[in-house]
Order: sequence, then structure tokens, then C-alpha cells
Amino acid sequence: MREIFKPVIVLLIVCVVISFFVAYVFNITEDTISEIEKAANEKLMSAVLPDGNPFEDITLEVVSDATPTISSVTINAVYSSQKGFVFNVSTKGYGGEVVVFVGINNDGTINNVQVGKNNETPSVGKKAEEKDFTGRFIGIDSKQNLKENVDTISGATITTRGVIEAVQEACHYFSSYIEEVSKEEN
Amino acid sequence: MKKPWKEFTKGIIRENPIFVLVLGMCPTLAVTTSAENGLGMGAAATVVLLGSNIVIALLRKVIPDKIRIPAYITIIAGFVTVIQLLLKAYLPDLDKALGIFIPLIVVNCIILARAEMFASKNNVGYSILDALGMGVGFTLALLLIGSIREILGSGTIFGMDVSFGVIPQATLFILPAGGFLILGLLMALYNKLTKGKSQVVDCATCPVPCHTVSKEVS
Repeated sequence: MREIFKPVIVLLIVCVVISFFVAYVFNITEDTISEIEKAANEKLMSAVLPDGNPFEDITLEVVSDATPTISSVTINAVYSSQKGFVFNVSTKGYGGEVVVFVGINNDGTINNVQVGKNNETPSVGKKAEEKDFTGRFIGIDSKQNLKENVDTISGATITTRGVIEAVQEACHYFSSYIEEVSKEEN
Repeated sequence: MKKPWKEFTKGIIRENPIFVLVLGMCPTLAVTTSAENGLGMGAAATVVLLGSNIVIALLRKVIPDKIRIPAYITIIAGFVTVIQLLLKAYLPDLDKALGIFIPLIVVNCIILARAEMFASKNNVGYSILDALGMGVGFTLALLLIGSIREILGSGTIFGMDVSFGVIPQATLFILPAGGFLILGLLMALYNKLTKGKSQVVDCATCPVPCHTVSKEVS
């Protein structure tokens, strides 16, 4: 009997002790981690739409009004401010999900684009994070076809195409929301 | 009988985990696209290795043979999760750079192999030295591969430009194929320099887990 029970009990004790250890560390780091993530998000948000604070979360209203057009892109969150709108969008890159922040002014032009969390290859797909690429979106009207107006980076086509699609979808949601709002006002 | 200093240095030269034992190839090839990533991965793996070696050496008489693998993996996974949480909270930049490869330390063969081959048979003191030696050896190897790939592939080292605008960047070297090329060439060079001194000859240095067999033999 000892042969059977001893391994079970030892393994159980090891698992329980390790679980408590991990839970303890999780508890003491939880707040710091969520603060860092929040700060990183806010930094990207104010980068795509400066002086836009305070932001108001209007995700539900925007998402319910529009129909998605690009299947690989999902809208995570939408914020509005006095100056315009910030879209937090997920798209598909080479190494999985890529988070893109899109700032659109009230007049419908793209204010700025930032690439957030991603697992793209350094020096290849990660080039999409650089100003050289994200700057290509600045000032373009949201009604335009972005694929014709923004060039991809050769060697990083999949990532940059994904980012362009993300911005395109954000523009699409922006247009449908504005339409809906003006309909309601009339 | 055993010399503490030798336990430490064996991981760096004679039994270097990458060039001699050929363990942990997945993270080796994946993260060494730059010197900084190599160094970060090496440091994180060393901390996990140190923690798991200490705990496993302490518990070596308590854990029954039959369940040693699940017990080791649980301990290692616990340490990796803790490291990941700590990195996220206090070194977010490094966490961002290493990304998915932190959780993958759990399945890094070096850590399980050291638990099997060393920590489960030796006392805590030697296990600490073994972990430090192996960790330093792993880190140095990753740093070397990462530096070479970064210089050839991006023309930089630790993010600083060393191409002086004249050396063309061969992107191949930061892609997977370049990783295999550099690793193979370095291994060949390593064997040439050590002239077979590093040859694995006895059970104590054999990377295949054969805990029970070696016990019967000895």
C-alpha cells in the first residue's frame, strides 16, 4: 500500500505548496502589473490622439452599430474624446495577434497610428512599430482605400498588411458610427 | 572528493549546455536574434535553474522515483511562472523583448536535465554550483550567438550601430536559417578548439535521463 500512496501524497503536497507560492507572488505583483499595462495603453492612446484626455469608453455603442468587413480584425475598445476617437484593434500578424491603436480626428482624418503588443520578428515584422511606417497613415481621410494609399514594407508584408487592415477596419467602424449618430440627431 | 570549483566551471567549458550537451535548442535558436535577448533569456533561465536545482536537491530523498518527472516539472513550472510575474512587474521592457519564450523555459531541456542528472543525486551546495555553472555557460553561449547574429543581421550590437553605414545587413542571420548556420559553425569551431576534450564519456555527463540505470551500474 505504501508503494501506491506515498507517490500520490508527495506529488499532491508538491503541487499544493507550489500553487501557494505562485499565488503569493501573483498577489504581490498583480497591482504593479495592471498599472504598467494600463500606463502602456494610456501612453499609446495619447500618442495617437494628443491632448485628447479624458477618454470615454464607447465600445458597446460603436461595435453594435457596424458590421465587420475584415474577418481577421477585431475591435477591442473604442474611446471618444473632444478631439476625436481612439480605436484599440487586434489584427493578424506573422507571429500571431498584433494590437494597433488608431486615432481618428472628428473631421475624419487619421491623426496617428501606433502598433502595441505583438510577437513579430525583431528587425523584420517589428519594423511596423517604427515611425517610418506608422507615419504613413497620418492625415489620410478615413473614407479612402488605405491599401492604395499606404505601402507595405517589403520583407514585412504580412505584418504591415495586417496593420493596414486594422486601420481600415477602424475607419469603417468610425464612419458607420458617425453616420448613425448624425441619423439620430436628425 | 568532488572539487567545488570544477562543478562550477564544467558547465562553462567541458559540459557547455549548448555546444557540448546540445540541450535547449529551441530557445537558443529562437531568441538569439540580438545580443540583448540572448543575455535576458540566459539570465532568466539561470534564475529558474538555480531555484529548481536547490528545491530538487533538498527534496531528493523525499520524492519517490516513480513520480520524479511530474514533481520536477511542477517545481520548474512554478518557478517559471514566478519569474514571469516578477519580470512583468519590475522589468517590463525585458518581458516585452522575451515574450513567449519565458513560459517556454518550463520545457527547456537544460533545466529538467540538470534536475535529473545532477540535483537529484547531489547535495544543495553542489547543486547550486552546478546551476550557476550551467546557467553561466548557457548565458555566454546565447550571448555569443546573439551578438554574431545581431552584428551580421542588423549591423548593431546591443542596439548600437556598428556597421558604420558600409557593412550591408544580411537579414538571413536573424531569421531561423541563420540561427542554424551560426550555431553549426560555432559548434564546429568549439570542437576544433577543445579537440575532443569535451567528449561525453561517462554516465555522469550523459544528457539522456537514465537515473535508475546509472544507479544500478554504480
